[in-house]
Amino acid sequence: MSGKERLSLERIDGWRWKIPRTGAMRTDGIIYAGEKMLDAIRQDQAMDQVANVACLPGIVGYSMAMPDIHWGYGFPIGGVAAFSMEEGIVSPGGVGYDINCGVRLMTTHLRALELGADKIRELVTALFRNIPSGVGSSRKDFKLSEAELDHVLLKGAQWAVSKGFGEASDLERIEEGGCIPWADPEQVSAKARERGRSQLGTLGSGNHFVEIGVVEEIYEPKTAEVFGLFLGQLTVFVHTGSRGLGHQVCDDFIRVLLKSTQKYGIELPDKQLCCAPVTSSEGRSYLGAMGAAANFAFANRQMISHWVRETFEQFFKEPSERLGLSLLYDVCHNMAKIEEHVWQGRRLKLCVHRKGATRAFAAGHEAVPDLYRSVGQPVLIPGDMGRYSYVLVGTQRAMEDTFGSTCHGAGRVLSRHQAVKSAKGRSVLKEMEDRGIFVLGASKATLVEEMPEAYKDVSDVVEVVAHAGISRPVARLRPLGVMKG
Amino acid sequence: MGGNGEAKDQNLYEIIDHTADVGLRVRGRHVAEVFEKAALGFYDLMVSLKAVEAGAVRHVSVEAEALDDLLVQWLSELLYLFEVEGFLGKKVQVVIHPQWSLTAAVQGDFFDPKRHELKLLYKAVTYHQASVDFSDGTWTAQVIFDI
Repeated sequence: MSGKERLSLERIDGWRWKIPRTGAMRTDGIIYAGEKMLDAIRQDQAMDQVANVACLPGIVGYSMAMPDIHWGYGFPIGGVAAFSMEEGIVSPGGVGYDINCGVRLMTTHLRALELGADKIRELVTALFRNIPSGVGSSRKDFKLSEAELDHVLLKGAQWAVSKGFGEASDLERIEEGGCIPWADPEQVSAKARERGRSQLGTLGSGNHFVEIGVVEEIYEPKTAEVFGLFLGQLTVFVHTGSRGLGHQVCDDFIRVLLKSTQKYGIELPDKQLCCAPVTSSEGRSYLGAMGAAANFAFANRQMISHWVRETFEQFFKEPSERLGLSLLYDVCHNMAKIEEHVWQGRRLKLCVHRKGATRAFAAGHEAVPDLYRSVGQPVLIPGDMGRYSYVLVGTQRAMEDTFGSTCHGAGRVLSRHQAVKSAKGRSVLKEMEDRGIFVLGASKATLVEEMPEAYKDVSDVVEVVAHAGISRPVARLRPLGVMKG
Repeated sequence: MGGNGEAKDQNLYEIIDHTADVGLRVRGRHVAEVFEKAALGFYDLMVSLKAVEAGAVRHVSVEAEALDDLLVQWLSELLYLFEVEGFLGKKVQVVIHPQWSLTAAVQGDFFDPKRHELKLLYKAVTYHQASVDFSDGTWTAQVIFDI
């Protein structure tokens, strides 16, 4: 709305707030948030972005934002919006630059207490040696040819498993089986390929990480058992995305779709919301390229978890099956998906945009793997590196209210610049060690920017989605050792 | 987006500070000057320019339909050069041709973790609030990066 209309915020209940339709908005906006989060949301202009998304053609239901909402480009981070396949649009701004940035959680048979701080330190150091992170680093034993890149872009994690990175049983524990079927590598530019080719199997920098943790609280024992979680268990989180390839795909298609927005006569409140009808040639091209970038990200996380397994095998001198290193689940944070949902009693095929939001499908849904179908889809919510992370489960309420979506993480509160200022004269590493967390990073600057106080307390975010009923807490994990990119 | 400008170097650029990302604003007497300063600011946020040598040269040319678009494409091209070959600029010469294209020679260096400490890594140069304006005899350009 860019300040043209004054937006009001009406309380629906303690956890949901409505931005009533006004001006060019085609529907209401709904923000999931606790009362104490509202000031920050107002300051951040994220409300305007929720209202802007509500102006886009073919929107079905509401323009929604999860409680980890903050300002993004075009759509807010935490934004969820579904569009009709016939009259609706697809927008790269509704997916983000890091296409299929996501997180996966691996479980083990190991008990964290038996390891002790020294072993955790050695284990993180070993992970750091085996998993490339930071600028320009890659494994000496892995080179990707141009032709092979096409297979990665077509097959995602399935390609990785076929090349010996991980196990076939991993695939059923990845959203979409680790492969977006409509991916079209021909839509990926030479530049995007060039940026991506040397970056497959690398962690990247910023908020990406590999984290060793321990299950410290279980809220729902039966679901935790189905997920294979137990108290005191050692776990491994992997958080990364489609690297330069995905960033370039987004960049390329913002340029393309800025033109098609004019061509199709779509009025935009913000250039970064540029879009095209889902079924137009430009819309289909973007979805094909986005799918290919998403597959790159699936393959990337699959390769990194293979190297996690290798590192554990070398470190404990036992095969990974004996260590019980299995994939619990892998979720996407930045995606547009074609899904079927029931809205107001009608079954509709929709293009669901989740930007900094997680799919959270309920028990019984056919997209939930067989082994979890009785309880619902695992939802993985990493927090900051100093506090805790959560495992949640999807609910029927999410299917009805949010097209099966929930939050994705903590969300920043301090800018990088503010974080650097506040860290002056302090040693973030030492402070983390005092909390019992060993951190190793490729860049000193990243460690400071990523310090815990730069983020919201993820418990506040989880509290909102739990009370709103769009997912239920299953377990809480605490970090012990973190490798940052 | 509630950015608040903070002077980093009076002669070069201001930082636009934002919760999740970062941007820069530059001023100059000629349009080419703001494009040059934006490039130097872009590099300075990543690594300290002092540590960058000027031995290698890269030539860049980009075209766009508007000046703000040209600025985004110019910096995106520099980001591409960094990602594929680790190229970091130290000295920049820009020529702007009307409606609109840019040719530039960038003298610089290749990223070496032993000599360069990386302060920031961009995912992309965004169109959000990207602008190149002229008023009261001064050109102002600003751009925000996705981190």
